[in-house]
Parts: sequence; structure tokens; C-alpha cells
Amino acid sequence: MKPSRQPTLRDDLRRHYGKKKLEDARLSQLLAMADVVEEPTPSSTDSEPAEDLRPSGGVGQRVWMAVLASAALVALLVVPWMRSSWQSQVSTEQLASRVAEEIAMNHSKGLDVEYATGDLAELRRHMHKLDFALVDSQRLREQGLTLVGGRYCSIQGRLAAQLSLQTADGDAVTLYQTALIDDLAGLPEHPEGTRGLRIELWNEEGVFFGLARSP
Amino acid sequence: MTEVVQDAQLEELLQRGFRYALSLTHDEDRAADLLQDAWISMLRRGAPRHVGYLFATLRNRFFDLEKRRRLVAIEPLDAVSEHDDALAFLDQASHFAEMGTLEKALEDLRPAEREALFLAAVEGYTVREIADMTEQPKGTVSSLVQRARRKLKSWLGADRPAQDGEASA
Repeated sequence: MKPSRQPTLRDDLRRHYGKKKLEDARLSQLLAMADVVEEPTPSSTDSEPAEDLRPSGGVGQRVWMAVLASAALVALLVVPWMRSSWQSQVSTEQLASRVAEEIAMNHSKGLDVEYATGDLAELRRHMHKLDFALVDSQRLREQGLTLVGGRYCSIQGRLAAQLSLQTADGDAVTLYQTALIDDLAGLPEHPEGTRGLRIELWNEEGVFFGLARSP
Repeated sequence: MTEVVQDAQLEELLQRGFRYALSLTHDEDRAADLLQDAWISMLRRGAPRHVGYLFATLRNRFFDLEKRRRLVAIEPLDAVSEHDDALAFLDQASHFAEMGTLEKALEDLRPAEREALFLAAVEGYTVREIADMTEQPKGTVSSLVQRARRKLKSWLGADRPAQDGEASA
């Protein structure tokens, strides 16, 4: 019997990387995002967008309304099978824990903002996939938070927005907003299991809010 | 590299992107985060959903972030005269499977070295194609793979018993 060929380095590398797979939950999230975004048209360039609002290094203006509006997280839609999956299998407490965990994880990453501005109107123009009116949260209005900027992200498979804020002491705060849907309504305000961070969940005027900060 | 991926192939595209991101980060969590970040960027820009754009976006975001973190080490590159032969070592016998040390050996590589190795060995690109994709000179790509080869070889040479008449990477 002829002995099998000795594997090559190419074989070993292909086997090594071939075993690596993006976990199903994350894959589902990315696929869901693609479902809600318009079919892309051929682009003449693969460069980043012309506008460049990279952070200037300084804190944005002290405009809480602008922060809320510009940072707006957009939950555009949920893939129908994911929605039915939630409804049939996940309790309110479990969902709150998952949302809180995801918010805490995103906060901990400390990702740079995509749009650096302290002005709500300006950020709204750039984050044009919003499909609901941003809400100036009464709950946060008097906390004196300063907007740094915002970026797109996702929450439980929904394309969302993430707002970076700072307290007067310079501590980072991350705020998420998304259009309120049935699954997110009625979640407990202080879910458990949040990586040592203080997580708050609440609704205001048809918008779901998630806030992450150090305790 | 102008594959246009149909909806049904998006999953495979994302998995390829994940593996490429993993070659850069060598950390599955970071690779997943990088992929998500790049994917959102692509969707937002309305970029075509094919491997060229995805890989370019992944690469740009990874190295941009690394630069901001000041984690990009500058190492001198060696001169390589024959770019076409630079990948020949990939098809030589390897003992990583029996030693189970490939994961750790890859960790020793710099992201750019691991990237070049991945694109050559797993994705099957030539030195020229890798140079075009990564916007680097062919000599640089050749040097990167050769450096990766030497580092991987040091793992094999240190631990495995000598075998007579055997060519190895």
C-alpha cells in the first residue's frame, strides 16, 4: 500500500484556517444587516467616504441634545425568523441580559467614532440611515454629558448607532438608541451580567435607549 | 479578483472575510469584531459585496487601528531577488500537524507576515496578486513570506527530531 503524501505547509495552513469559522450568532447578525441595506451598486472606488470627520482630539461641544440625536442608534429591522426566534425562545430577562452584554462589550471595545461632532443636526445628516426621529432624552438632559461623536454598530442583529459621550470628569459613556420594537419594550432597567459596568435600559417617545458607563 | 457574490454566497464571503481577519489579528474575537466593523462600513458605503472590497476594507481598518495604537513595529526587510520562488516553501513537507504547534507558531508572526502567508497558502494568490491587493511592492511581499518561513522553520527545527533525507519548510 502506497504511503500517503506528507502534508505540506500549505496543507497545514489550509487545514488550520479552514477549521476557523465565524460563530453562527455573529454570522446571522451580519447577514441580517445585509438584508436591510439597499442592494449595492458598483462603486468606482473602494476608498472610504469623502467626508472625513475623524476626531480632532478634543472634546465636542456641550450639547446634550446634539449628542442624543447624532449618536442615534438605528435598529432598522429584524430578520423575521430572528424575531420569531426571540419571541418563542427568549424570555424578557434573557433578552435584557443579552442586550446588556452586547452594549457592555461594545462599550469596552472603545472603538473610535466614525463621525466626530457635537452637533446633532450635523451627525444626523451623516448617519442618514436613521428611520426615526431622534429623541432628546429627558432622563439624560441634566447630566451634563458631552458628545464626542458616533458610529454605526449592531445590537442583536440590528443595524444600530453608538454614541460616544464624556462626563464632566472625562469618563467615557456609551449611549445606544434604536427604534422601539415590541421585543425591546418592557425590558428590566438594570439587567444583570454586564462586565462590571453600569447598564441602563429604558424607553422614551418610541425610542429604546441603552447606556453603558463605569460604576 | 472580481467575483461578484450572489446573495446565496454571502455567508461564504463573510466566512472568508473572517479567516482573513483572523490572519491579521490571530484572535477570533478581534477578528469577528474587525469583520463586523468592515462589513458595516461596506454596507454603509454601498460597496459591492465581493471579496476584493471586503479584504481591502478589513486590511485598511486593521492597520489603521494598529497605527493608532502604535503597535506597528518597524522591521527592516530583506532583499529578495526571485519573487516567483518566494512561495515554493509552501509545498514542501511540513510537520506542524504531527507537532500541533502551528497555532503558537503563527502567533509569533507579525500581522503583515501572517497576512501574506494566509493570502498565499490559503487563498492561493501569487506574490504579484498579493502585492496588488495590499498595495505593497512585490519585494516587500516576498520578504514578508520569507520572514514568515524562517520563523515557522524555527518552530519546526527546535522541537522535532531530525529526519534523514527530508526536505521541510
